Amino acid sequence: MSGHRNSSLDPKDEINNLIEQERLREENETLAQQIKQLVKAEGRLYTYQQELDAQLKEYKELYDLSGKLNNTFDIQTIFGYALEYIMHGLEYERAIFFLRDDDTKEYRVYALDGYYDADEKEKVSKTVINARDPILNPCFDGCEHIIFNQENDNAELIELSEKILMSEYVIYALGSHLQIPAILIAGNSIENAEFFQRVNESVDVLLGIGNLGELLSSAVSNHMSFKMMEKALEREKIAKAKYRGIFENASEGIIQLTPDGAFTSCNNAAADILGYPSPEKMPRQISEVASELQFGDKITSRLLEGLRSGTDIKDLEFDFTKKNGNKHWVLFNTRTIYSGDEIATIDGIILDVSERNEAREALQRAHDELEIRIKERTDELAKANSLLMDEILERTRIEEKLRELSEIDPLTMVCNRRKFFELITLEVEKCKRYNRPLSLIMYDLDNFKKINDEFGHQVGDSVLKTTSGMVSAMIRKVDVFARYGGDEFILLCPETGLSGALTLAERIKGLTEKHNYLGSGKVTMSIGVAELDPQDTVDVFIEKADKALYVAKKKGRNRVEIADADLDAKPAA
Amino acid sequence: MGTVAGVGYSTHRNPTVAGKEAASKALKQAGIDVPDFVMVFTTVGYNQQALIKSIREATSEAPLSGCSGEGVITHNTGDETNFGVTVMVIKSDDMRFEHAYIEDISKKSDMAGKDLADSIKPYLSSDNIACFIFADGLVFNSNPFMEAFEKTIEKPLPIFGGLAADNWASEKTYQYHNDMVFSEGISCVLMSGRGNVAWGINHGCVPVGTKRTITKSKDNVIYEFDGIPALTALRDYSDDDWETQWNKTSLNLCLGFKTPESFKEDYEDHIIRYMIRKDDSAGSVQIQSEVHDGDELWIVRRDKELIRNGMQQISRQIKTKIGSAKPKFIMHIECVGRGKVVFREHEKMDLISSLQKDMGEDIPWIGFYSFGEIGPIAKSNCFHNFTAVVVAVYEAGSSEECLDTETAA
Repeated sequence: MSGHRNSSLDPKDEINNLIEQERLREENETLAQQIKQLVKAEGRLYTYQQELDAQLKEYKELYDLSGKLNNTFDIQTIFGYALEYIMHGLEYERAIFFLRDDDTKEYRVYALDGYYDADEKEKVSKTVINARDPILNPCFDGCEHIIFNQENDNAELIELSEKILMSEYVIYALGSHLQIPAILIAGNSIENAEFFQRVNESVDVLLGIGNLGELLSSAVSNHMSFKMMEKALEREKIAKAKYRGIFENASEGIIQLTPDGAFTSCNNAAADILGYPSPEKMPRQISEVASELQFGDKITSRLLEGLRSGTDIKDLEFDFTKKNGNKHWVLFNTRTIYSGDEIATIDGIILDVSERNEAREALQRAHDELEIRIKERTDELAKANSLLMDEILERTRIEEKLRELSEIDPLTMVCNRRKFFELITLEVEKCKRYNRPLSLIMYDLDNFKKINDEFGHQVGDSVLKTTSGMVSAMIRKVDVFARYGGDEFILLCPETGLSGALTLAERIKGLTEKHNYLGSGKVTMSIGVAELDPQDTVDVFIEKADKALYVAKKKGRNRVEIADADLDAKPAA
Repeated sequence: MGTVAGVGYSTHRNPTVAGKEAASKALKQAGIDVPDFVMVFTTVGYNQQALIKSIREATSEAPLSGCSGEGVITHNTGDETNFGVTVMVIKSDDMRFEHAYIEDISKKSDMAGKDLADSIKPYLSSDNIACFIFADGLVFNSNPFMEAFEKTIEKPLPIFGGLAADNWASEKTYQYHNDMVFSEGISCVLMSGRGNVAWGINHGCVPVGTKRTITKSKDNVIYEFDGIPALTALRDYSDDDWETQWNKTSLNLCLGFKTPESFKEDYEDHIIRYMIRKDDSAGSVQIQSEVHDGDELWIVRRDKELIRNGMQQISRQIKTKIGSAKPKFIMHIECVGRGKVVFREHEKMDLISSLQKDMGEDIPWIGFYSFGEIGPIAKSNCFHNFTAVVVAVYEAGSSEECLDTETAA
C-alpha cells in the first residue's frame, strides 16, 4: 500500500505527507503527554475530592451538632450529642467527659461512649482526675489540648492511659483555662486504633478536636450560666416567697411608696395599724391618709418632704386619730431605694407604738410610786438603824461597865484580886521572856481590926478608900494596884527593881503615916517587897511579898521588909 | 408465602449492638422472626467474631454467608467507613439456599475451584438458579479458580459475587460461614428452586493511550509490555508519590483487555483489571486473572459520565429481563474504585439512589464495595474490576423468561 501511495504521489506531495505525518506524530505525542497530565490531574482531583468530602462531612456534622447544642442547656444532653459526634463525626473509638465536682475539686466521669465491654465501662467510669493533677497543668496554663500516644513517655499520662483504657488520646479542656468545668478525652485502644481517627499532632486531628472543643466550651459555658441563672432564679423565688411571707404575716406595717406619696404596696398590718379594714380600703395617697387620720400639718409636711427628696425618715413618732375616734401612736421609718440616680421606690415601716407608750406611762407611774415607797422605807430603816445603834452603844457601855465592875474593887475602885492575877500572870511572863525587872509591893494597914472595932466599919472603909486613893495617885499608869483581900493591897511595878520598889514602898508608908485620917487619927501600914526571880512562879512571887509583909508585921509593924530568896524576909536597908 | 427478604443496616461502633441492630431491622423489613438464610456484608473496623456472633444470635442461627468489604451498600446508602454492616434475611417456600466454604485458597486457585465445587455438588440439581461467591480479594486468582470450578460442577451455572475487601490496608479480608470468620478463603451460596436472576454489569472505563502488548508475564503477573517494564510504562501517568501510594495510583489507572469475541456483543469493548500489587524490583504488576505473552492491553481510566450511563444501562438491562416482575431482593457488588475514590459523596449517593429508585425503592437491597466483581457476560462467567454487578432475584414465572443461564448483560 505504501508503494502505491509512493508511486501516486509526486515528490512534493510526498514531502508534504511526511511533514504532515511528523506533525501528526508530534501532535500525537503532545496529546499523549497531555493525557498523562490529565490522568495525573484527575488522580489529584479525586484525592482532593475525598479530603474535601471528609471535611464537609465533619463540618456538616459539626454544624448539625451546633444546632442541637443551641437548643439545650442540659449538660447530659450536650455531652450525649457530643459523644455521638465524636464517635461518628470525628471517628474516635472512645470518648469520656469528666465534670468538675466543686466540693471535692475533682473531675469525675460524667458521660462516656464507644466500644467498651461491660467490665471496661465500669472500670473507666470510676476514673477520677484531681484538679491539681500535674497532667492538667498545661490546660490551666492555657494549652487547649494534650496529646498522648505511643511516642509519649510521660508517666502520669501513661497512668491515665491505663485508667481510661486508651492507648492514645487527646485531652481537651472545656471552658477557659481559668475555669475548666469539664474535660473531654477522646482516643483509641491499641487493638483497634487503625480503624479510627489516630491521635497525633496532625492538623486534621487538632482541627477536628479543636472545632468541637470550641463549640463545647461555649455550650458548657452556656450550661454553667444557665445553671447559675437557675440557681439565682430559685434563690429569687425563695427570697420572694420569704418576703411575701414576711410581708403578709408581719405584725409591722410595711408599705411601699412612690416619691409623690402614692402607695404601690401595703400589707394588712399597715392597714390595721392605721385603722383601715384592709389595704384595698386605704386611700391611694399617703397625703389623703394624713388628712383623714389628722396627722397634723407638721408631720404631714415632714412625711411628704421626706418622700419627695428621697431622704430617709428615721424614728418619726407621732399620734393620729383613727376613724373610730381612738387616739393612737405610730413610729414611722422609711428607706429610699435608688435605681441609678432615680428613686425606684421607698420602703416604709409603721410600728404601732400606742401600747408601748401606754405601757411606758404606766411604767413611769409605777416607777414614781416605787420611788416614794422606797424613800419611805429607807427613812424607816434609817430611823430603826439609828435606834439600833443607840441600843448597841448602850449595851456596849453596859457591857463595858459590867466588865469594869467585874475587875474593880467596888470600895476602893482599884483592881480586884481576880483582875490582878490576870495582869500579874501576863506581866510575869513578859518580864521573864525579856529579862526585865518586876517588883511586887504588898501592904496591909496595921491594926485595922481595931479601927473597925473602935470607929466602926464606915470609918474603916473610909481609911481603906483614902489610903488606896493616895497610893493610886502616887503610882505610874503601868503599875497595877489591887485590893488583895480585907485590908491587904498589892502593887505590881513593871520595869522596877528591888531598890525602886523599896523606895516606892517607903514613900507609901511615909505618906500614910503622915496622913491624918478623918475619924480614926493616925494609921500605919506594914509592907513586904519582893523582886521577881526568873525561877519564880506567880504564886511564889506573891508568896515572897506576902512573907516579907508577914515579917514586917512580926517585926513590929509600920515598916518595910524585903523578901529573901529563901522566902525569909529581911529588913529594908 | 413465596419468598420474603429484608435488609438491615447499622453503623454502631459496638459490634454486638451493630450486628443485633442490623439483623433486627432486616427481620422487621422481611416481617419474619426466623429466616432460612442470612447474608452479611461488613467493614473491617469491627471485631468480626463478635459481630457475626450477635447476628447469628439475632437470626436464630440460620445459615449465614458473606464477607467484608471496603464499604457496604443498602437502600440509599453507600457507606465506605470502617464501621458498617448490612444483613439480609431470606425466608422462602420457593427457593433454597445451600452454602459452603473453603479456606487457604492462596497459591492454589485451581484446587480451590475444584474443592469448592465438590462441596456444593451434593446440592446441584436441575433447579439451581445461581451461585454467589465471596472470595478473599487479596489472594484470589480468578482464571484457574473459575475454570476448575466450572469444570467440576459440570453444568452451566451463573456465578455472581465479589472479592472481600478491607479498608485499603490490603492486610486482611474476612469471609463468613455460619459462626466462622476466616481469611484467605471463599464463602459460597447456591441458590436453587423456583426463582430467577436478572443482572447488569458495567464498568465505565475508557482507554487513555494506544494498544500495548504484553511481552513478559507469568500467571497473573505482568512484567513487561512493549518491551518496557510495566511499572516504567505506568509511571508517566502517575504522581510522584506513586511508589508509596500504590493504592491510589492503581485506582486512577487500570488495565483493559479486549473483550472475547464470543460475548463481545453483550458487553463493552474491554474487560477491566485492577493492579492489586506491584513489585518495584521486578517492575511488575499483579492482576486478579491470568495473562499471557502477546495479550493486548490498554491503559484505561475511569470516566464518571460513562459510569453514570453504565448504571442506567444496568437498570435497563434488568428491567428488560424481569418485565413487570418485582425483584425479591437485589445484590449489588460495586468496585472500590467506583466509590468515594472517584465520586463526591453526593454524586455516589445519587448514583446508588437513582438505580434503586429505578428498580423499586422498597426492594431489599444489599451489597458491598469489593476488590473484584464476578458476573456472567453472555453465557460465560467472568471476573471483573472497576465494575458494578447488580443481580435481581425474582420469582420464577413472573418474567418473560425463566432460563437459568441466560443473562441480560
